[in-house]
Amino acid sequence: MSTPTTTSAPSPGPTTNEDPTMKRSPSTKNASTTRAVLALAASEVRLLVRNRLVAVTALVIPLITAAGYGASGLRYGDGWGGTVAFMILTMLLLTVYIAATTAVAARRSGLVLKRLRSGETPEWAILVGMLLPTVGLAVIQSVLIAGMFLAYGADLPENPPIVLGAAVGGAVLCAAFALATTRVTATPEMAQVTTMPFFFAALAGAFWITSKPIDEATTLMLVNPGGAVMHLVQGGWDGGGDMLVAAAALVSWTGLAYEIAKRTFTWEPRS
Amino acid sequence: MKTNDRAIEVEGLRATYGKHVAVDGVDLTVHRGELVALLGTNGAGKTTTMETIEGHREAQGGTVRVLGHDPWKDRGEIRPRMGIMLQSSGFAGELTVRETAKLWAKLRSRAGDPDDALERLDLAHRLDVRVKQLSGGEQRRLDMATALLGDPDVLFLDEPSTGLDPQSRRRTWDVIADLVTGGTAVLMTTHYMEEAEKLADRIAILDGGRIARTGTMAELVAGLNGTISFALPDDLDPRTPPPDLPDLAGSVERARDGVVVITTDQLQRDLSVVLGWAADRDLTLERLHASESSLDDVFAGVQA
Repeated sequence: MSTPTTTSAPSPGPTTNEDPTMKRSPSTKNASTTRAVLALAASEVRLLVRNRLVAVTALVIPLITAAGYGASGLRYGDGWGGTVAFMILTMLLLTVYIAATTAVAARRSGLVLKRLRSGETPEWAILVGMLLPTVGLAVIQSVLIAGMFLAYGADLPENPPIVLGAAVGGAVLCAAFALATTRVTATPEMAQVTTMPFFFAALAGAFWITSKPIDEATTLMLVNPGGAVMHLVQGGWDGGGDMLVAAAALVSWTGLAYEIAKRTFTWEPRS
Repeated sequence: MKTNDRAIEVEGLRATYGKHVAVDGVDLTVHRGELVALLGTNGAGKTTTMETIEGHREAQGGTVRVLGHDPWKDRGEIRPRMGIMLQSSGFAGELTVRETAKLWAKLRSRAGDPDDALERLDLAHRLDVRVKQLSGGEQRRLDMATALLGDPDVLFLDEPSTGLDPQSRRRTWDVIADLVTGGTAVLMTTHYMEEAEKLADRIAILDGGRIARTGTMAELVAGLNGTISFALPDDLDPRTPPPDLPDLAGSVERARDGVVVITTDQLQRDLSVVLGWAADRDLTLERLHASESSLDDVFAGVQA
């Protein structure tokens, strides 16, 4: 992603000053980029652990909420899938969407993004490295939530790969929306406000789709991002549902968020 | 210097923010083993010029080549050979100095030992301190240490010694001088005239987005007058120049607060005359000061 600019400068071809020793092989570049992504991800994990407020919000609250739901026996629908799906979606919104929006806004306002961009790491790799830990954490928490509900007596999921795929897809969706949301999030504090529209829209979609049995969900219910994630997890756990439409909605929303982020993302605080 | 020694070549650079033209027609060349200092008041266009050459911004006109490449389009090719110290550090405050340096070493394809860079900038004793607990000067030194990782061929320093105490500043100057001697091309912005005089092979003074003056220190001050100043004893009228002062090449411009100021293009001759005049009258000239013209004078002339 690039800082938006207007016109291109005239650019003649390489001059005699071009240094031929600068050419690096693709494999060397890939190795460097992979190492950079992992280093950035490790650094983000360290920062997450050291920021107790963010750590508690992202790690503990979703698990406590899930534990409370499991203990209460509250169900959305006939099987356990609806409840598991709702818990996973809530966790994705808290752990990935809000936390990532806050983290990116904080790094940008602290000029960390600008500093990172002054190095040789590609822009996309900087963002992947920053977001990788939250996405990975969300997947781990999904597994923990699923395990928690199994311990409460839930049936084994009908199709675990779909459940896992929905969790991963939902995490990527939330990460993409987080990047898009940073456009209107000048400071980390502002993230508490700017994330609310998508947060509540996704939750509203989730509540809406649970109002019907899984096989009676309408297309309109499925095309909501929250509804799509809910439907995929619930269908993967209990069986049934229209997985294809929900998956297509998930991919489409992710693509839309990516395009918005690509066009509007800024690496420096707006002056 | 040979043509192919040019590490940075800028011709007719133009950079804008909306309708505001920040940089307008800047030409600049930095050779390998040379340090060029960019001076200018706040808003003169120094940082915009620097960041466009670094490849942070796309130029709206002109050409920019770094090591023969367009820094905006060929970022991936030339960044491994560049070191960049931005005007503000931009490090995560919760990481320690050691963690920050190691992270940056891993972000570079040819990093070298980060401990060496920290040692050079006198941060070896602060390895386990979190960045947010460092002083402003220490953060600047950490910034420079990370910019030096990988022994860059081209180094960009945006106000490198801002916030440093005098001892750290001199140590930083030594590091920069060593790099230039080793063949690194350095483009530096600074607000400190002394820093530019001490380090720069050539100086460019920006004013209103254009280069107003450029050249070596000797070229810039050539033709400018030196200054002699001294205070007269209390029993002499401080408001007017001494009436019996012999003819000088320079002009006795004014006497203020008891200080006589002589501006001259023949500093040595006029100083001898003044000293002879004082000796004949057995006068003690207090606060006597004589100096060649300085970069301050050049800078003030541009701003006038």
